[in-house]
Amino acid sequence: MPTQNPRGLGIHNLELQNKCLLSKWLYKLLNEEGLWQQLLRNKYLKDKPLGSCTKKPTDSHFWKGLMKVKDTFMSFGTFKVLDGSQIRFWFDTWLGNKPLKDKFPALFNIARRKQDSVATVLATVPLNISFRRNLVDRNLRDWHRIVASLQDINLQGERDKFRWTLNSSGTFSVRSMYAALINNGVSVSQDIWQVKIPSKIRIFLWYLKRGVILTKDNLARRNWNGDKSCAFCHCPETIQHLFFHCTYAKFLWRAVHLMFGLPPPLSIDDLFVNWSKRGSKLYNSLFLTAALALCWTIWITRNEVVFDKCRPKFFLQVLFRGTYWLRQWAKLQRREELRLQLLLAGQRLETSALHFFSSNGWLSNRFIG
Amino acid sequence: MGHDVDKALNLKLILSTFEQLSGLKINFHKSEIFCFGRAKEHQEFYSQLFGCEVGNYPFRYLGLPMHTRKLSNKDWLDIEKRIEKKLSGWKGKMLSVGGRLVLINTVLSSLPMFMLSFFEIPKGVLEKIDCFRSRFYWQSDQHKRKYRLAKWELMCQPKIQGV
Repeated sequence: MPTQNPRGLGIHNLELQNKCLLSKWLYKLLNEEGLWQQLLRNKYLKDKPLGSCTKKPTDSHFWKGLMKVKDTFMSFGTFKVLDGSQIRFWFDTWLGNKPLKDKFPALFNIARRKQDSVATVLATVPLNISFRRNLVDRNLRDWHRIVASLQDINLQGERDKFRWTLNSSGTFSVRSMYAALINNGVSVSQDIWQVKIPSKIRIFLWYLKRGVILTKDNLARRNWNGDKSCAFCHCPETIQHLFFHCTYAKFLWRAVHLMFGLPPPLSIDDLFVNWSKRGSKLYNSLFLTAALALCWTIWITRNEVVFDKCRPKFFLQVLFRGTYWLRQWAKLQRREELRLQLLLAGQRLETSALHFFSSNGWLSNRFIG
Repeated sequence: MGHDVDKALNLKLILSTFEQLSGLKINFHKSEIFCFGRAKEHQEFYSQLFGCEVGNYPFRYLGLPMHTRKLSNKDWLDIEKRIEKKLSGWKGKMLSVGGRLVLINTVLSSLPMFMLSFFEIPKGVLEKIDCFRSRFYWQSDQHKRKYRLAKWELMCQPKIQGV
């Protein structure tokens, strides 16, 4: 099973959400003016940049929470230099897209007073910075590069601004931070959640794709003792068997093959990866919807046999049930042409199956299966 | 204000003068008094002087519990109770998995959001809320354990990467 990324159901991770919500305060503290910002600045920041603030045991619960998320928050933004008092020269990102300590680690290692703010460093000419050793060779070159890039920076009277890099507009949003934290920067758009089917079927599909639905082999793996044979035949029941190799499944896929010329899919993976990808994105979703209607039908029929102890349904009944779902789900399609396509496919499947059975006798499913 | 009886009397005087002048009445029964340090020993006296109750921590301000120290798990109990109250009214068995997922995402996850935006959530409370949510999703309870088909961490992954 191709599992390059973990894939989920989108339930909120409250711990991360908590971090993101707290970060919002930090953003407002840096970028907005107001009574509470003044209060917090006077109480906790004084003249220090926010970055060099640390947690003290006497701090309030609220502030301690903010201090915990501070580093994560700062890593997702860059500073715009105005007066330079809020920016740490080495640690914060303000010149280019990386902090200077990562850009020039050798220089950083020998620098004195590493926590200095940009304002302190730029206060005098030459720069108010000293190194523990004389600068030679590479370090000297690096240092000249820094000094050269500092040329165009003029300190102004206003407070520094913090730009949020995860949003194109540069303003903070909890959503963007949450996405960054939970994806670790990877976002792969999959169109399968966009297929227009009822949400419980989507979750069924999710289970199916992960191979965890409770077929009897999966049950046995969870210490269930019982008859492990398939509800329809005597083979051991697995997902692969139930949805692709069992007579019912074979019959359904074969019917599709005969009517539309689509070869039966080999496995769940094949179904998702190759079988349903035969055209534009829109039509892929149609193929998937139709395939799911069949899978869902098989699953429902199987459950009826297992739980309600009914006799297995006649082949045609199963097929008609499939087309029934198809018709139902056609109503969910947003686009008129897709809706019509689905309805048409269902109709064609029904009429040709009926035709086949009436011309060859009602028990001729052996031919088709 | 320091622990000083004269100052307290003065304050009382100022307050009642304010009442007389402005015509606005202060409801002392609704007000509470908090004493710290040495004044704590005399809090009975102060509460009688002002005619108000001695306040207890944590008190609520704008819907948030306020305390001088860190909020304990007990102070978060309120959230858990609210979730339990919601859950008790829902017939999870009558809902489909899809419906339950929607309820979890829209209702249960958003109940603690307000508190989350102010305080760091304790690990224990987090686990409790996750327990409520996953239990509701899988429909298991104390008496009956249900099969869980996916790990909770996995289910918390965003949908955009789904399937």
